[in-house]
Amino acid sequence: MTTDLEEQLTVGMRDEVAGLTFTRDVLGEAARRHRRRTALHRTAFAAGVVGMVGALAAAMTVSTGGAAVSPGPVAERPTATTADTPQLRLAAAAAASENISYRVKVTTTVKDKLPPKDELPEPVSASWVTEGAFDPATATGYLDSPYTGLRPVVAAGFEHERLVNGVRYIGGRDGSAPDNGKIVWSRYPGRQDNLDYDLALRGGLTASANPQELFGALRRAGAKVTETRGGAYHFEVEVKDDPSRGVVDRLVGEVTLGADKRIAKVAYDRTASVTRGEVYTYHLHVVTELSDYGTPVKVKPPAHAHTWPSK
Amino acid sequence: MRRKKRFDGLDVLVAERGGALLATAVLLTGSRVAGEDLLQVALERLMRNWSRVQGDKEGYLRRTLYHLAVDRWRLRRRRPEVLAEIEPPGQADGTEALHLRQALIQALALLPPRQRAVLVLRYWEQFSESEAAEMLGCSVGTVKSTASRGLARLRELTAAWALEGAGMNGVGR
Repeated sequence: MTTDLEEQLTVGMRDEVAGLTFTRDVLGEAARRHRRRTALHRTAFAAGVVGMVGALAAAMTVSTGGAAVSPGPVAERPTATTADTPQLRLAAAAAASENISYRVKVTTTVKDKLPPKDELPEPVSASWVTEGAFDPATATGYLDSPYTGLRPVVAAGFEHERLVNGVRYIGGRDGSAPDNGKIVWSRYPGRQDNLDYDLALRGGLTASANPQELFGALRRAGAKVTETRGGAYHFEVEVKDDPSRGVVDRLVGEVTLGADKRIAKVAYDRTASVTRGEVYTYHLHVVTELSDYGTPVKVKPPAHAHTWPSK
Repeated sequence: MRRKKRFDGLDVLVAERGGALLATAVLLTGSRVAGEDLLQVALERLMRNWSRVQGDKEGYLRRTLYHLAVDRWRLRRRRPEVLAEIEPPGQADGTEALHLRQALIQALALLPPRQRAVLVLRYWEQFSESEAAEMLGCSVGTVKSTASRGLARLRELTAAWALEGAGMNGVGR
């Protein structure tokens, strides 16, 4: 039986992919995404939500003809100043939050009706939390987002990440024995100065991707920002992506500042409509909380990590 | 074109070997759409690390496909394919092997990513256990045990298919 099954599996695989051809320009799309990523990295603000809000503010100031607040050394970083428009105040808050360490907690909740319990081979997450900290000055931080079940394809990410002086490590379950809780670490080649902690914002392949990309798209789309009575900033934007990517994102939420006039919370509803292949719309609620600005962030590299992907 | 200047030879590589890489990606993900997406991400990784990848670009792409499939793809799959709409043969008519192969391929999509990757390496790529271990960055023992578990699961699923005689829905764990 085993031999026959193995033989049938081999033949079945060959049958399955016989004559397979591309249905779209995969290389061209990869090149476009690479160029966009490269360009955005050059102009991006600080990582994560701080960067996201900075970019949002920049988008707003550009749209209103104003000048974005340029970043400076941490020691000279002001709290929000006397800017007199919602856009400039938000820009000032974003600038005040840049280049300073902080803790972050991202809570993502799926608002869609979950599939029946036994429909999928793995459980589905209704909600999950990502926690971490980041110090842009030392390019050091960490993220923990324990796997609690399948997540929407538009909210992908790694279970664990560490960034130690620019060296990034990713940790995931051992696929050969995913239930034993063992985390296998891999080290990314090269160095980087940001941490992809915005799990809730990353859309992966076909959605809005990281905050820089998201707000690059926002800049093009033209987000609408208004100040609320409570001093928060309401934003709405629809990100119409390249049709070949097949996802339309809509974000509606608020940026709340703390007593120090730095960003304390970004909460929004995200509607991500996958329009290519199996049509599906994801509805997520995301709350990102930033705290403990200026607290030292110390992270140790994992004891064992192999290079990922190795050459 | 800029792409040709910066990534000299990549167009040719994809033209000549893209089909084979896509085949691997499709087997790893279980669908053509997801396979194309996976290959696209691998190509982006290659572009990002272009200057650091010396020599075997296809090898780098292939390795990246497997690592992405094992390490990340699992988290991206909200709605994995289930074994559905496969009718077992009602009577012996010479197509049993074909039906079995179709059921096996669909059952493959239900396996955990690492088991699937190991089986693709062993039975599609025809890699030895040590080659598969090297590709995945794990031990030969892990490959052996993972392949064994994967085959056992396939056997279980297809046995259920054969016994139940009423489609494959609900077979997943």
